[in-house]
Amino acid sequence: MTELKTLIGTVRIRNPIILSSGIWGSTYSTLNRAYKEGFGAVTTKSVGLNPRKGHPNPSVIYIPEIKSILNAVGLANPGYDAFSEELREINPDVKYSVSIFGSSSTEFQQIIQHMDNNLTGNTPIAYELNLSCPHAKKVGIAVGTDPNIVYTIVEACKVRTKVPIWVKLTPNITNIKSVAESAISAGADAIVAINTIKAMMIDIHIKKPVLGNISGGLSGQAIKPIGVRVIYDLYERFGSEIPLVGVGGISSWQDAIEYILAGATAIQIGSALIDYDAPQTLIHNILNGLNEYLSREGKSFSQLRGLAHE
Amino acid sequence: MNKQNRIEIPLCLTITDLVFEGEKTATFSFHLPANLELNPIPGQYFMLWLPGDDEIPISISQIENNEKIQFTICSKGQTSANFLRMNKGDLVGLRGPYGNGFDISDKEVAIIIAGGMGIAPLRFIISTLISRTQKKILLIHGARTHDELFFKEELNNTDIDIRYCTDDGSFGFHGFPTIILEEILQKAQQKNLSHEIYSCGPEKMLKGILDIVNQFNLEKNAQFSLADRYIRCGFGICGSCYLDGVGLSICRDGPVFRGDVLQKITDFGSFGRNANGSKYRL
Repeated sequence: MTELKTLIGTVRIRNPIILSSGIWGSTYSTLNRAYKEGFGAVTTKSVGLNPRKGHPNPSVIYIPEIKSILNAVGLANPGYDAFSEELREINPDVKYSVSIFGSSSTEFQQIIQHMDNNLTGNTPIAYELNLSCPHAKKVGIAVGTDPNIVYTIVEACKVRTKVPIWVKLTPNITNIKSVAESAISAGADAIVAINTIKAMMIDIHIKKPVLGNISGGLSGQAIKPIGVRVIYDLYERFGSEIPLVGVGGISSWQDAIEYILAGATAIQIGSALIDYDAPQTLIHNILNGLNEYLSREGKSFSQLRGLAHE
Repeated sequence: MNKQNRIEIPLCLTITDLVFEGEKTATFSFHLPANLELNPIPGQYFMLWLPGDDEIPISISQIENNEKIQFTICSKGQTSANFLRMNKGDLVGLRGPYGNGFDISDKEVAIIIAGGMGIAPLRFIISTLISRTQKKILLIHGARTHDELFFKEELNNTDIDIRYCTDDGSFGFHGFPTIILEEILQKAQQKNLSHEIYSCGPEKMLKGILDIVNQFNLEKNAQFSLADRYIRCGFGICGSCYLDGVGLSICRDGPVFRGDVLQKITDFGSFGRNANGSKYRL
């Protein structure tokens, strides 16, 4: 087996496959289970200041024709206080990052400070700032498309914690590079891209939108080419200056390699889990395929990064 | 993934029949398009969408010829209450069938334990057992009161043995189904017959059943439907219905679990989670 330990800035994980935010990660038991099944690290569902029950259902719809998921869960979460108690139950060996959303830099600071104080026994590997959810008011995309606001939030988080700050960006923007530039200059330790793409569905019989929130975000195989393009653009602009975590439609080792050749340091997987009763098989398939590819190519994992640019 | 055919995007169908089983409970019928071949399993559920309101998980209460499908809904929240205001001919969005259903076992005796609305999914397994096996079927049918013993007439017209019980003593045995179960299992010990137990109802009752079947070492032969919990996506992705313990979901790994699996689920009988993910004591 080729060495697949992965370094994302200063964070070392056992393999490059991370469970993405919004999938499974609402409870400590699922985070424990996901890690046990083989993910290199796991990401929690996004947490905010106050409890939110999210949007009415239907809020998650699978579209088989394009192997993709349309969702408008609406950042349902129990609030940072209750969630930090949940996270205290995570097994000490589990590498996890905490996804956070907020409407202002002070909100982000408040949550991060609380997490730092409460999770001393088992510190997260990173805080992943969700500046990209496309279906909730005043948060996510509402603060993540303005380079100045992004700068202020990331800077405010950096001064409050020693835990690395990863910034998850939205593809629902004309120029993602300028937002990434703001995040990086404010001290972001990694860029995670992409979040879901704004989308909706209308029932032609009742002539009404299907999602409770009317519109939502698309994830899964349909968005992979978009994610690959974003990672390619970011690597082209920033090179190896910043770690890039590629996410969007990855469901095979070939997809993973495509992202890495585009410039990703590591990858995240979410929607693909729909095809598996347990993620173990999926992770195993990707790691095996990756290993075989590396031996055929006679390259190490880190040598693969960004090769499509040469 | 499960190879079973499934409707993933809500399919809007008209309510072909609506029968009130009680003051706050009604059975809705729909005609599924013949080409879908869904072949649902007893214990599985559909997400039922009331356009403009919300979508809720409802266990299949009966299906005939893979076409006429029924769901029994009890008014207990805003959306279920609104369902009961619907009329024949109105449109409802259906997606499913989802989840892990009951295994049809070859044991000599099937004991079915229903508490309140729990009779709805069990009605489907009773008809399946009757049509597929010659085994002895015993139903312990419990409810708070006589008026809530739904499908009583229909079930009385079958050949199965039925023991009724009510919390208030208004019909049958005055007490919980668990007391009758314990009695039956004690007597059965002497007869040396094999048993399979199917149950659905309030989680406190299911917990009581698990404790009893444990005493008789029958936990691997007992199946429990936890259909009464919050479900959002239906296919195990969103994380809203995962149970603490080993990290299993209600919507995909369940809603039917065997007793030996339930023993590892620390939330069972103790804690639920609401839509925002907060835990509450049951």
